[in-house]
Amino acid sequence: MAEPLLVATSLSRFFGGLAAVNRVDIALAPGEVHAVIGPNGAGKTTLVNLLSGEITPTFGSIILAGEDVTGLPAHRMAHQGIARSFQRTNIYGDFSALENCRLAVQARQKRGFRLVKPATSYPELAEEARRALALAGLENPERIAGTLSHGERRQLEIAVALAMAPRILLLDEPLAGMGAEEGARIIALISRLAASHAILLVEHDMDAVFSIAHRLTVMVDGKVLATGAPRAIREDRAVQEAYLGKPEAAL
Amino acid sequence: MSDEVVFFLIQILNGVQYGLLLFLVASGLTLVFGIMGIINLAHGSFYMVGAYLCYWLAEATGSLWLAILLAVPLAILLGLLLEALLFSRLYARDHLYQVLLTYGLILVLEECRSLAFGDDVHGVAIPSWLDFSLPLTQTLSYPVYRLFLSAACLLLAGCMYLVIQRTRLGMAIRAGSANREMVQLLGIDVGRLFQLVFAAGVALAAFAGMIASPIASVYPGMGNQILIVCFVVVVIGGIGSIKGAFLASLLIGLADTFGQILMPQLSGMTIYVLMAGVLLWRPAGLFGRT
Amino acid sequence: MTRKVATLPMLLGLALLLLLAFPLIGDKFYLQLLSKIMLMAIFAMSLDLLVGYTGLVSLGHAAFFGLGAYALWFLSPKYGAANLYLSLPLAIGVTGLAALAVGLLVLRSSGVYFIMVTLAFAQMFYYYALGAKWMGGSDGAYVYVRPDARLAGWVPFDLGNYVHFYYVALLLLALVYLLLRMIVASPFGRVISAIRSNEGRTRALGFPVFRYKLASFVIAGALAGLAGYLDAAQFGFVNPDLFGWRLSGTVLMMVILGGMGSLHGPILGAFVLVLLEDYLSGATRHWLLPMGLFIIFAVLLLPRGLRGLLAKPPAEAADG
Repeated sequence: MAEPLLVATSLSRFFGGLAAVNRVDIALAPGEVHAVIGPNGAGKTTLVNLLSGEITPTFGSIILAGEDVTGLPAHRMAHQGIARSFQRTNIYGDFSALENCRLAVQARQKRGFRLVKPATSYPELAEEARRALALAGLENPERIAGTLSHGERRQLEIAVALAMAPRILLLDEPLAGMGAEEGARIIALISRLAASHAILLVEHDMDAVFSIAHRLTVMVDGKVLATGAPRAIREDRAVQEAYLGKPEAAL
Repeated sequence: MSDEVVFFLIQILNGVQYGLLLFLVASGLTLVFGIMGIINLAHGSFYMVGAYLCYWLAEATGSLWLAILLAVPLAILLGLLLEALLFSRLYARDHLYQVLLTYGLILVLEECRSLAFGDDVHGVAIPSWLDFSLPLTQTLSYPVYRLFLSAACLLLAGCMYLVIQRTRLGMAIRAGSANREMVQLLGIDVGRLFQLVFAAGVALAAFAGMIASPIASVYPGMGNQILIVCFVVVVIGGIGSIKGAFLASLLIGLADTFGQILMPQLSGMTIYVLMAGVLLWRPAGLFGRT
Repeated sequence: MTRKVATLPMLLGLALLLLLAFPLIGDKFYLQLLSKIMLMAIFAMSLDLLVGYTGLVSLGHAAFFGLGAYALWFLSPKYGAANLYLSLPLAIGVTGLAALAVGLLVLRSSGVYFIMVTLAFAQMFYYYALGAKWMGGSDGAYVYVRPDARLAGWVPFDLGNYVHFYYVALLLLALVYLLLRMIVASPFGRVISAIRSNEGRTRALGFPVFRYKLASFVIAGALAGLAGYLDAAQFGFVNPDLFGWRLSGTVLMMVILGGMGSLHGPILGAFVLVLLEDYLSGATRHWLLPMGLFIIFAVLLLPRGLRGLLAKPPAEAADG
């Protein structure tokens, strides 16, 4: 395993008395797909929210390439190279798919307010956006995002994340609601992206997970139950009892 | 006790009395927003409607109590009518449209009042058996009616607390305040709940206008004045929080009263400075949810 | 839909020509009324930047209008004229700074809180002006001499002349429209539209959303100050009502009625509402009643404002 790029230690988030995420340790390294699995309500999305800066940890730390980024807000985390896709599609429904990605590219540029020249006079932004969309396999990007099919919207989520040119991708259930063929394409895409990114993949689709994950973390009730290589996890007794062994886990 | 201490106590009593009155009006506003998701700019107008109805009926019947007894149902009727005609169409709309429609409603209600009752300031007589003062020192005394006013507001606040904490209806209200969609799933008749909550809000505001009228008089613009103060209450207390509204009302009542004594030139501004201060510390109010 | 957009510049050009030619046929009353409409249109467009483009519903925008008006009064010597080229930028600057200060406080609130705190802040200004003897209190104050447009000995126009004032207002309206068009089409403008569409997403992309909202708030406030300055310059009278919630509600109505998020919508809204107010207030003392009813019906029946009557609705997004 390569040198970890993102290391979260003892990461915890309490809501009132409830620990949504409880002392979670997790490390993401480039070249790796690190899958996080667990029953609903295990805290997986909260973990993603913590790592992306949507919410701040109650305690624990997040170190990115040696720098402490704990508690940075979402827009600062984005500039640190962390991009995430959302579990429930969270795109600009009234903008075109192209504009969705173009904004992501523009956001990277940190150049203060540009008030004078029209946005259309910066064609390099749209160019990069098209590249991200092509990578994610989304065609005809001039279509309005709200008119895309469900599967296409999930692809757009990934395209937007790619347009942010991140080092780290946090993917929250990218396959949710997708058909077999679309899903296979996304899996292949994630596998290719793993070569150059550190990827955290939250998923319920066990076949997909076991086919591309290099490491697996199982979360139950906000805590890490087990973490390690996929085969070891699959054979772990405790994990089987808690999650994999149960009939509904093999969804 | 010395005169200064008694004077100070009197101001506290006044501040609490104003705060409790504010609470009656503000609680309706925050409930309607918390449960129904509607921001109602015309809420202050119900306070005015209550006061004017009370004045008119008090003149006609000669008795404040009879006037209140008759006026409260009338105010509730008006509330139900408005809910059926207008507010029921606002549930799904953006806050922006709610703001504009209720702004138009303020104008309509103000002019109707002007047509029906004119633009003069009116007084309402304090019932004779409450119209005396308790002597506190040689020179200072306190009007009993104000004590009665505070007591009435406290009683209502207490009833509200009991209803919200101890009854089925209260449970529905608390649930609806936390999660509107959930309430529907629980099988509660949301339409009926909304009507009830709205009618209660109107009744509370109108009743406040009625019992305050002997002290505060009845005048055009009284509705808008109290509305804006209620906004400050709700901002400081947190939207949807009755507890927050109660504490914020008392805070504002006291701040406004002492502000007028200590800084008469800037008295109108005290509560806004207070609001700015709270917002710096807590952008969602003391008990609000972001 | 594309055909409609292509004719918009034509319609605007036509309107501009009509407005330019109007003084040839219009009398003093209508010229002054149109001047009022044009400065209210500037006010409304500034609010549209906030409401229609950034998605920030302010119910206290009159605070900055009043500030611009009182700034002219403050900068005018008692029995002389303020220099237009000094006082106007100064008034805009001061109002912009005030918007910065207020924005830092109120923009941390969102949704309904934002609506309420903006109203409350405007009320703060109102109550201050009401109680401030030095500002004239409830009686208001007078700008006895209109700002002087003298430039190195040459006087290009006289703001006291209602025809000159009309053309100055028209020029400023056109300039503000072009300025806002430019801003809205710029990368900055795309971001504020994104904030309106999906604020969380915009944050996740890496934009410092607060800063963008603040910038929008300041620009809107400064332009409202410009409108207020013109208002004070037109009739030379300022009073606390210029900070009032009535005015904030009226300008918001102009934006919504005309069609928000379009810039030309608010101009249309300003026309309709000022003309309606003028007509109604002449017809009856209780004109606020039909005005209120008009507002109620407009909200219920015209979800996209008057603009919605003129253009076809955009293609509806498919669900799921």
